[in-house]
Amino acid sequence: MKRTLAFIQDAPSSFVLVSIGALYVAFIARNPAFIKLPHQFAILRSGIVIGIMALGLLLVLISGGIDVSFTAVAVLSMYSTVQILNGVNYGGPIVVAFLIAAAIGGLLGLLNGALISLLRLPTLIVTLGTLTMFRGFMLFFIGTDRIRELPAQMKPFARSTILSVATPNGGKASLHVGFLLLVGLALAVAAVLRWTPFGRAIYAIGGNRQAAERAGLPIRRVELGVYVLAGAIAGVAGVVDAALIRAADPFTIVGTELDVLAAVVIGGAAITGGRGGVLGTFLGVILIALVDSSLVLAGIPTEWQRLFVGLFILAGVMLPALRTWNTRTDPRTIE
Amino acid sequence: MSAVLTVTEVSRSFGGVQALQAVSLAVDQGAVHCLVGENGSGKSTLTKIIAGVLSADAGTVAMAGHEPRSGVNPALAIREGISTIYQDLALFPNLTVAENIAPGERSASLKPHWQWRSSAKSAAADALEELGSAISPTTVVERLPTAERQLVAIARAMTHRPRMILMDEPTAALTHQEIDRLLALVGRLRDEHSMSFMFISHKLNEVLELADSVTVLRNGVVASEGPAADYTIERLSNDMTGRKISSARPTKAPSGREPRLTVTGLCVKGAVGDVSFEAAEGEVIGIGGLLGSGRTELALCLCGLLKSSAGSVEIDGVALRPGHFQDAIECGIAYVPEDRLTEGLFLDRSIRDNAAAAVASAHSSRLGVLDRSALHATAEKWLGQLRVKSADSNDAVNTLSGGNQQRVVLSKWLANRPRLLILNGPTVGVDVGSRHDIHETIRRLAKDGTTVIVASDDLPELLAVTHRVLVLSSGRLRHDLHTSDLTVQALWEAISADGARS
Ligand SMILES: Nc1ncnc2c1ncn2[C@@H]1O[C@H](COP(=O)(O)OP(=O)(O)OP(=O)(O)O)[C@@H](O)[C@H]1O
Ligand SMILES: [Mg+2]
Repeated sequence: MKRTLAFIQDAPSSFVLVSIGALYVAFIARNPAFIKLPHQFAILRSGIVIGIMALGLLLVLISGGIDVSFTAVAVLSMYSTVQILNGVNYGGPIVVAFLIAAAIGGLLGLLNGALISLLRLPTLIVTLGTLTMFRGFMLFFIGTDRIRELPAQMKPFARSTILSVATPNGGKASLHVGFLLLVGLALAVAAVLRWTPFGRAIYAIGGNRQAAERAGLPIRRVELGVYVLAGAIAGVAGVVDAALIRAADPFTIVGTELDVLAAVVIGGAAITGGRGGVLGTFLGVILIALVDSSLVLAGIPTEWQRLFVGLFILAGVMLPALRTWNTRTDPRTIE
Repeated sequence: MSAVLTVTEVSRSFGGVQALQAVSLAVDQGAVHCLVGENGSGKSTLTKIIAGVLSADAGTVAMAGHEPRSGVNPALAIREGISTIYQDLALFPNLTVAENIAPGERSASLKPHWQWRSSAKSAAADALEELGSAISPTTVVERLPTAERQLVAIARAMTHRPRMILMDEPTAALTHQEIDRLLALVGRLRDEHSMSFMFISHKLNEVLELADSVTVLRNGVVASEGPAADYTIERLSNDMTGRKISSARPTKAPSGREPRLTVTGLCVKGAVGDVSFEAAEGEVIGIGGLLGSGRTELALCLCGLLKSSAGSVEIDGVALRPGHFQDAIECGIAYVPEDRLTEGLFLDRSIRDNAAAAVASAHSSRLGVLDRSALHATAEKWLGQLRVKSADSNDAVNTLSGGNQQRVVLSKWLANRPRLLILNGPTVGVDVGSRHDIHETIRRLAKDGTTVIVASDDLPELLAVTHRVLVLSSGRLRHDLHTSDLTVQALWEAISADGARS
């Protein structure tokens, strides 16, 4: 018992892996069609936007903060980018759309960061405020219409796939190219966290803010960087979402905050800061995507879905507590 | 000799408390300057001001060759060559030992360094080896026991070879061998590298062994200062407290009383083997032993915080279920942990609430409603008895000085009137005056019938309060010595000889 516990704690990912495995077994038992490729691709596809936003939130959580405004940032950046590009009748490469959205997201993140260090209020309070502010600003000043006409180059992007497999009944199952973007961003964030002094400073600040201060780390700058980065990543997520649903919808993404938070926390990030990693987050996203998109197929009512997500959050939050409990009664760690 | 650090007329207050009042001192190049004073006399506050993490209300701090400063700027202090070992260690619990020690984490710059990991690991290993410690650089710090965390904090300050190191009670959690090694290392760095030190400790023998010069603080003002040669332990404690501290011996062991605690064949996997003993009502029993002797494990096991693998523990004839802390509490057992600063307190709750935490259930009605005023009266009484120094007991515990926080934990458990009180290092980090008071309290509790077990590294303390000392080594009970005719020397030999044998 103790050994299994220790194993789970040492690798929070293993808990997620076990859960994913268990869900697969259960789903296949209920409905063998579950394992077919089209459905597997659909699961991954539904994890793309959540996954990208989770990467930004991961940075914030590690630094010891919490951000709930990222959905508003994503939508605001995406919607204004589309409006700008449509306004100038842009027909160039899609990269520009990502860059503009990231820039707008980064600016909104900068505002978050600046308010946090200026007001010295809890990050939850500040970002709750900016969440409402960004939403209101967008609906009031920018627009409330669903824009079906996306800039020219977003259409091919929306149709691009990286894997196409013919299905027996003559159809085609394919994985959207956005998944590649998610993987690329995940690798980039992992590299920043692991190998750059900026990344290590994020962990240090989340682990013991006072110690970081005393060690002379530039806390303000690092924190500002974290929120700017999280905002930029949310902006990218917004554009990907528009491409996936082939429209700029002001009401998309909003409401997925909890799913994203769940993915990150289940993946091993601590709400108290200092802990978490990209691999765990990635697995957490897969788990959430699995729950979100599969319960229906497996014949489980949608209402249950929220219950499942809630249970997984609870489990994710409890693991660190188990860890403390375990080390406290572990004789090796005494004297 | 020239001064490397000059502190001029520094004052600082917190709300209504004047923590420092026009304090001046100078530390010479290649010298160890010791700072002593009672709990709450302002030592840590002065350290933080010199380290640039706290601003001074008035006065300046100047390193030789730099402008005087008085504001908050830790990075600047580090650049001027000051390293600091904080009383609360200020480590990153979530990072590895290497990352905690590594220069990259400490320096104010954020230069990229791709090979940083491997170089950090070897730097950390070197620094720890100097201290004679074999902690693996890849261990995550939160997994380390307090003593090893302390070593990590020391190693971190040393790696840089700074001009000067501020050490705020670096030896509080360490054992004899580790302390000896640290003191030797400080001496060597001073003599061979001409490094300077400001050293804070409540262990006055260490102070006299190491110091070139001394400053004594009392209530935030300099009570006396001078070359170390002018001081004796008596003078130090007189200057600190303004009163004479006599060394007392315990009252005679009670005879013919019923056994309160009966331990039979107790084993803890990998730590304690087949320990049996009895303790009577009103008896004070010491547990001595080197690091890894099973001392702490035995104490933890008695109160159900650690599960025994064999044997039994009985209180007044009632057997405790192994590993059930709640059982132990209901039977009237109180345990005061070794690492009180992290285990024993709700740091941002008030002093009074903390002191009252353990007695809350005794002061609630049958419906579970708290009788607040009675609760607070009990808390205040014990806070007063242990002389916790605070402006207001409604303030948060983390505004207290380190030693005063320890006393709050003690008072929390004493308020419970336990039948069996288990203390692990009861006076670690506590000044001589309060140490005396705490010993006095232990004796009084015992006289009133409480059985007390004191696990401690501090041999004079064991002799001062206990009736019997159990000496452990490699988890086995080697000696059961009566204290009345024991000397520190004889006790030390009993403890260390066994350690060498195994
Ligand atoms: N942040 C704070 N807020 C309020 N009061 C404080 C704060 N920090 C320190 N004090 C007060 O300043 C005084 C000096 O505290 P300091 O920590 O410097 O004592 P110390 O000499 O280091 O004691 P010890 O030996 O117990 O560590 C104490 O009365 C303490 O309560
Ligand atoms: Mg102090």
